[in-house]
Amino acid sequence: MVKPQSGKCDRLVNAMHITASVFINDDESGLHLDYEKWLEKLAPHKPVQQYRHNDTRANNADAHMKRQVMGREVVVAVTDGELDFGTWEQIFYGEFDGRRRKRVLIKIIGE
Amino acid sequence: MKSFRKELWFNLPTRRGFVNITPQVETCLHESEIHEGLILVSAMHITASVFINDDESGLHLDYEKWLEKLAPHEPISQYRHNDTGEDNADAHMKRQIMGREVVVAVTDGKLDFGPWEQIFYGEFDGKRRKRVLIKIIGD
Repeated sequence: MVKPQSGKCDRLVNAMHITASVFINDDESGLHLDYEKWLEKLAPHKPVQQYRHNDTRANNADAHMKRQVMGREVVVAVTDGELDFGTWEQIFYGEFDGRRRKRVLIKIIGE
Repeated sequence: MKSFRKELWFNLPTRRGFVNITPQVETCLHESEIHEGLILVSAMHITASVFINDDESGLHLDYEKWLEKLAPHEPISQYRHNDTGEDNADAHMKRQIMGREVVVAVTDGKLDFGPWEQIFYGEFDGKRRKRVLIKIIGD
């Protein structure tokens, strides 16, 4: 990861696909299981025919919804060349329609 | 380019609550002497949110009820995160729905807002000291 040298900077990290998320939360495996179960309850994958988006031959309508709940991007302040984070903040890529190549964009501006 | 950094501290007496922090953010913007740029306001804790919406008490009650329906606090044993001795898994979910941060345009030294936009701190696991980061960059 590139670290700018001065503190005058913001860092944007965003999913470039509309069935994936970038979010900040806890790196705790139990919580990740909870997220999986909870998102599946809020927007179940099956039956796939419950979604009109899936009439287009896609089967990932649920992934478009899960991504909305978890978010597209995070913006992090850069101070003294470091991510300006609270104690437990960690950045995650959330995949809701995987098994194919996908990207995240990182854009850093500042001095 | 100039930059400005400040932390706001909170210690809500309740587990959950919403605080309008727009006046504090405006004070920071004034202190920064930045007239054109961007302001980032983000929760530094992963069981809290910063979001923009309406300063209307009925809506805040609606959010409370809706979030509690989407991610109930109890029974705490329904969440694997709580096996670690925590009781705040629901707060990590509520925070995802309401968001971590907002980025607001600064134009002519003011927050460039629509008519009803107000910035809120959303607490989902309170009764302790927690922070919000304000970072402003621009000229």
